[in-house]
Amino acid sequence: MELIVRGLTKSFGRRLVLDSLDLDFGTGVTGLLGRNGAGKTTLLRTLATTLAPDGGQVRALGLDPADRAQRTELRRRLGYLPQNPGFYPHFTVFELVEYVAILKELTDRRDRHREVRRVLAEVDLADRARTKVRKLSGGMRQRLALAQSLLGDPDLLILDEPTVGLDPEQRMRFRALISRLGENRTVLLSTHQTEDVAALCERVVVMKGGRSVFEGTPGELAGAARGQVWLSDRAPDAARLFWRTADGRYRALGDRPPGGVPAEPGVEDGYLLLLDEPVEVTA
Amino acid sequence: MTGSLVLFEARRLLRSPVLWGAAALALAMAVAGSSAWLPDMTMVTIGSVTASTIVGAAVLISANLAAGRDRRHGLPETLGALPGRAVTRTRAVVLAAPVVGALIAAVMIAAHLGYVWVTGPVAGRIDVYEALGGVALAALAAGLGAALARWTPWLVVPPLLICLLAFAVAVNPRGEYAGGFLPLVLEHSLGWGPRPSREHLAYLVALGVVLAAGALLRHGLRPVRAVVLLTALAVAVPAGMAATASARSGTKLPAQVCRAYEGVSYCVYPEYVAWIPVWGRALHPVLSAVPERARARIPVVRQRVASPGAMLETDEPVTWTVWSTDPTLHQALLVGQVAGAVTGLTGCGTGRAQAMVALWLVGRAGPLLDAPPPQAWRPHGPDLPVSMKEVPMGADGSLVVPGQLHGAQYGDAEVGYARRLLERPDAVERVRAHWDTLTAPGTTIKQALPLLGLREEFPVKEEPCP
Repeated sequence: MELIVRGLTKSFGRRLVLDSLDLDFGTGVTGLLGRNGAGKTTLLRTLATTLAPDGGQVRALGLDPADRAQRTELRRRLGYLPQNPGFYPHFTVFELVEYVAILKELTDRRDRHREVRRVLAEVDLADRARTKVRKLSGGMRQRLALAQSLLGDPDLLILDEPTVGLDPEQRMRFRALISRLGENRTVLLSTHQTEDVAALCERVVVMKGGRSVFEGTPGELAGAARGQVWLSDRAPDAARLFWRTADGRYRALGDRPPGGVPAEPGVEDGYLLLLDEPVEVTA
Repeated sequence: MTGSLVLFEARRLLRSPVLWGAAALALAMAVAGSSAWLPDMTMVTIGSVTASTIVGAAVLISANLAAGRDRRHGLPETLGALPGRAVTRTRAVVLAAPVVGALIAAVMIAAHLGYVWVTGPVAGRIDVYEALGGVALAALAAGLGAALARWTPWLVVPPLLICLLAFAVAVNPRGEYAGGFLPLVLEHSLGWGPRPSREHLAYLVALGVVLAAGALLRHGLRPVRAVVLLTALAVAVPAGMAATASARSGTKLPAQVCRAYEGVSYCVYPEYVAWIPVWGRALHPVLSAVPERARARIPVVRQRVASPGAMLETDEPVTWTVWSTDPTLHQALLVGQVAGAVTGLTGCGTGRAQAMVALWLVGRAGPLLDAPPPQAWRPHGPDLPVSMKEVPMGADGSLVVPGQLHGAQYGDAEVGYARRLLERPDAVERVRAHWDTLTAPGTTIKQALPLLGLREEFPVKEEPCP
């Protein structure tokens, strides 16, 4: 396994955010799902070495981040896109990525510039290299943040909500990029977009209250909802969760509503059922 | 990695419009400030360094922003996952910013000194240590900016500190109160002796190293950093004390050298010989209008260290160690003195032909102003409007002299008839022809008018000296 988490614990004040978490991540793309405050970002920050855990162990790429020298070595092989990536507005796109590249120890100027151009091309920002960051749109900034995480072709890629602000075309490009990167390295992806998980991830982890409540494939997550997803013509009273779809029918999760017919479950259905919160949503 | 980061920071700073804008502003201010004076390179260098503090302020702010960058805009999270540590980023700024700041300040100071050198008859000498002090000041400012960024989270601190330093310099312009520890001492006079620029440069360089080491110490107490800081402190404190002690320690002024120019002898301090032709040209309209024998009356024109007190000590024509390019200031004083000397005019009284001729000579060299009001001649009188400008005397204040004849009294009639005489094409011939009569102490204006071909036009008050 590329990434092993054992008994990981982290509290902010009296609030327990990670609760003795045990996880293993191998090569490929793993999606992290969970509602806000479930501990996804705290887990990713801990794995990215920007946050020290209160307890437990992490071993990433065979390295122990608790050891200073090994932590530095891990950082050399790590790509990290934080949830709220920062930008220096007065830097150009090229300068910002080059700055990060230098701090990632890409010291040869020619190689570094080549690498900066490569990652900018990967996120379709090559033609914006000389643009000041402050002039970029939100989606472009998100791609820029993704570009810096790709520097140095990292062995471990940690992406916290990477598709926020991307338009549909860019999301498709992003999926293609991540799925390609996931062929030979570990990619950890936190998202609220279940479609991304379904389209990209070989494995999914659902977190709730600082613990993992599901580990498996997206198909297994969807399969967990089999027999609990229904379509009906009337608003069901007893369903745990239902919403009105575009064709005027109701999609219900839980017990079969009166007149309900079984529907093919998706990742989102499995995820929502797992969280087990009664909510009414209408489309 | 440090080398790459140093180059990166240096390139960014070198492309900074703020720094180059500050340099352009500083250069413009230095040129504007120095264009009002004949160039005394000693003072020009001080002016250059003073203006370069604008660059220093910009470098301080820029270095502060660069060193504190990793705390802003949400970048800490991204940077935290990179192998390059904060100390590397600080080290890059404390290496790059002083070099770039020093370079830009050097360009600005060199451009100003070069401009002045090629545009004017230069006196004095460029104090290389003084000029290097300006360069070191910019480097020091970079170290200060980096140290502030590492030790204080507030962006308001650097501008506040700049204001505080500017205030400290402004209220202590002569450096009388621990001036050696200030970024610079604004004023200087030849009479104060040589500036302790070498000691001050050592102080600035050492203090810059102290600040750079101080910035790095934020990342942990390491033996090398501590040793560097203590060593630099051990240099900075004695150097500052030495600079303070030797400031205004007094000196014996150098012996003057004398040169003749158009029949007039000028005795000046050796570094000011280049200004003699300027004074000679200013006096040419006076000297060319009087008989050869009259020039013998002109005493030696001596240069004095600029001081209002010095003006009161002598009736001889004097030049100064500061000289305005405005002809109505120092030049007007000199012309008035020489006109008075050549006509033998002294003291008080009105209605004298001597005064009228002297004013005519003054009018040949420059604008002839209305006579001052009668109260202006009273010694130690209140400040009253006078027809002379306040003449700045460098670091030693300024001087107000009533009238245009070095304080010798005259009235409206003298000015009026002098103006009529200026209008006459045959004035020079008539004055030369009747020179002895016109400049005799007892000759009145009424007696002189027929000799000059003028008719009675203005009421003359003939009041002898009380």
